[in-house]
Amino acid sequence: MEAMRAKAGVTIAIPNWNHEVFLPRSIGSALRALEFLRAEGWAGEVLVIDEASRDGSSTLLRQLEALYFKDGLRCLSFGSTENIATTRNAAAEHARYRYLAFVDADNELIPENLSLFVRTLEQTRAAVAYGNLLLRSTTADYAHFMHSCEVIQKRLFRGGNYVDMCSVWDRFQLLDSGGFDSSLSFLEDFEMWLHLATNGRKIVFVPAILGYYYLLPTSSSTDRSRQDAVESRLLRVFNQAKVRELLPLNTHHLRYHPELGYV
Amino acid sequence: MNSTMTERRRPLPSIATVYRPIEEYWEQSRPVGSLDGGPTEALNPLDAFLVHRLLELVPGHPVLIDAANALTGGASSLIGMHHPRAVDVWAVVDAESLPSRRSLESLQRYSGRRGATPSSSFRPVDRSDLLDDLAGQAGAIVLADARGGDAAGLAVDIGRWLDARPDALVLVLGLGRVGNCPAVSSMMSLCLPGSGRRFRLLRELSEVLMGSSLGMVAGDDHPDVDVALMRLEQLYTGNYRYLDLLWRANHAALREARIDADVLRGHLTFGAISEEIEGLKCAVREANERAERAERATRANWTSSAPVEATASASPLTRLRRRLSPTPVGSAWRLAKHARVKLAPTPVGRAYRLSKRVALACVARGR
Repeated sequence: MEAMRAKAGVTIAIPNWNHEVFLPRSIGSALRALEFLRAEGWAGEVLVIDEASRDGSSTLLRQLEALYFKDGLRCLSFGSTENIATTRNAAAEHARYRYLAFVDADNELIPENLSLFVRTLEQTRAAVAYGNLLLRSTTADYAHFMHSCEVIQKRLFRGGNYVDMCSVWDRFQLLDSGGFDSSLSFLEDFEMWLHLATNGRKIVFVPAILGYYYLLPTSSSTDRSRQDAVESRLLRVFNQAKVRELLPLNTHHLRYHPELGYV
Repeated sequence: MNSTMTERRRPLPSIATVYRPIEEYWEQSRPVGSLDGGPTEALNPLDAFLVHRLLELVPGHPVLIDAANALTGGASSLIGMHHPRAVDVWAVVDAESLPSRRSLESLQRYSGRRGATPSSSFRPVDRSDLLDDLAGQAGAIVLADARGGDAAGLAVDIGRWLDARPDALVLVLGLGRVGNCPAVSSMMSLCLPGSGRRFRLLRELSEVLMGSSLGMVAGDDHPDVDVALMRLEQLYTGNYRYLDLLWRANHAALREARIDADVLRGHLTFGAISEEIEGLKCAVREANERAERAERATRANWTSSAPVEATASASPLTRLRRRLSPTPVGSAWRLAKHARVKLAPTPVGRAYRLSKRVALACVARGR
């Protein structure tokens, strides 16, 4: 597909792999977010990328696209499954607009707040803006915890990611920095934070709630030993000499609100 | 850009992937003379996708004959030009129509900019030559547009095309509501029972296709139409029905509002039911109380003449003795005990004790 010149606007990218029962929630929140964005003069689209789902997602997406194409819903379906890093790279490649918000298919945006993050990127020229996520159990209508609620700090290089991928990106900076490492099946988000930080890009925390993070009863099985191996590898790549905490970091403790500036 | 980022996979067709080239074409060429507004005014994205799908579902090597390009600004031809089956595209040109000529020019400029692509060939065909060319072309799918205003003329054209090529499919864009749209009425008149033709509206295949304005006219005995439409319908049929979803959403909202208690309290049937339930509860309570009183009384009768001892640890013999105590057996036992106590210091008592010792010694010797 030919790359189009990116327009000013927001693409809300929803990678999906067999999350049919949660798609109406995530897509519904994204379409509502588009309404709020349009009211503020932003163009937008919701781009769902389906990775060869087998659970009914493809039929549902086909139907939803027929109903909501005019509201900005776009669906990309691939016939084979790749890892989440490849899916996010596909979103970056196929998105029409400059700003790219990632929302997992089982989570939900808070529609009114998305523009805060987009404006933050516009004003700070950061690569990423992220914010608080409220944790809920699968069907709860209240949150019991908060996640992704700290600024980027040097302790990130000691291991243990605390920033979720639900965030808003400057697509140009994502493409220019090489995108996600598609060789990684997990911890690709952690790798990306470290990659951006060590390459001088800014990752800004916005003290606002971006969305709801839902806990599910089963998740894809992760082999703890493999995860540890990947984490070890990342620490080897980014902090072998264990000096990162002593070196300057452009993105250290960046906290910004578009109405207040840096706080 | 990092080479690992390059997406090597080709996405499956969706409205987005089919319509994107049309949007690009529109941005680059902004065809003059076409319908006002953006590309979605000229060509409905859903209809573009349905045409794309039909080109895929019809077997053989289809040829898209675009007789709608004047009104779509050439956008409709791109459906075939970007089709992965390398569909041949004829752009029907009316030399006397300015929009038609301008659409052709836009298409040619677009084609020239793309160089060796698009993958399919594209050739202009004069409207006056269309019937002759169509007669000799298998796999013809003719795309027409009903928004030109001449519904009767369109019906006549379609009739001629199908006469020239009975196995052709004619897809008609821009059909409005039944009863409101002269083109729909013309199509129905063209396809009366016994005419050998059939008219279908694709929005009738599924409720999610209600946004489509695409119709199809084909011979009754066309070998591929029924299967193609069935496959299209199945692609859009899932497990959910709109009405079921609506019902569930409303039901969930009503439950959340918790209005049941208020409703019951305010209804005339509730009073009588409530009284009956309360009466039954009362009766159960009283019955339980009576049973408890009876059990206490029974327990009291059994133990009234015997000293109260810890029954939990009493042996079976002790419990038996207590039960027999108020009876004649108990009385006899107490009399015998009294007599033994009185006779113990007398010779009778001494003789009794000696005989008991002798008997025990004999029993021990015998073992």
